[in-house]
Amino acid sequence: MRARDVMVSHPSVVPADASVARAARLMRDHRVGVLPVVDDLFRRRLVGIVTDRDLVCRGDCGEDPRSEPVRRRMTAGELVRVSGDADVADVMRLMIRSGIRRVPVVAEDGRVIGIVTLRDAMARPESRPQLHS
Amino acid sequence: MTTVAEVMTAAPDTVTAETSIRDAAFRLRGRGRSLLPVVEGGGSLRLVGVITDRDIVERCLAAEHEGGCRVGDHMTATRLVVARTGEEIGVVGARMELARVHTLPVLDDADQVVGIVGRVDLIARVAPPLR
Repeated sequence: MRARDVMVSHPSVVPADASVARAARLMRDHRVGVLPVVDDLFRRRLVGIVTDRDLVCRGDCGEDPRSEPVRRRMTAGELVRVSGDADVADVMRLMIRSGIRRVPVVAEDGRVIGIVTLRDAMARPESRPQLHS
Repeated sequence: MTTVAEVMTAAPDTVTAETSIRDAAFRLRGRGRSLLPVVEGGGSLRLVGVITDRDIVERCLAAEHEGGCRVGDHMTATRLVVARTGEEIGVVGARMELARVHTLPVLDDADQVVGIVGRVDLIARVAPPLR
């Protein structure tokens, strides 16, 4: 089983220059806790990832969220990502090892094509890795 | 039987309804916690609400409020879901699932906030660590 078989396709994304407030609205309206951050909405190339917790707790909390760009609060360095062909058991091991619950799926050109969540992956018994082996 | 008191984080950071949202956000940072109990204050640890990082995202940041919001403006103050120190952790885990929350304030017999407990605290007790 591959990442593309369990991922959420066409996930909501936010451009890096969008405001923190806009990212917060996307999370509220789409009921998600994480957004891949992209260069722009046409190319959708992954440049970072931002969680609800990042919006609240990162940065100095002193800037105006209506004008502060989301890139200031995203995670960009050493970003974990997988390809659609990745084996789901490997993706789950990667998430557990990295201490994350959601990982973006990207095409060869860096375009965001999905998100795999630990919960969705765990819900497919055939994809579970042998955690204790 | 494992009780909540054995797995909770005792003496948690708390805020009052008068605390600024900015200060609450600052306190949520770096503690690995997503919920702050809101207490009466003035020496009383009686629970009056809870505020989470998600509340701040949905009710303050997304709504584009001017700076100057207080915890009382955005906290949840009704139908609060809590745990008690003497409760068995399985009961509390089921309550979390039902309420679809992952962290609860913990109250003692005098209804004072004495801890918080997260789903991870419960899981850590019942499941062997992943290798």
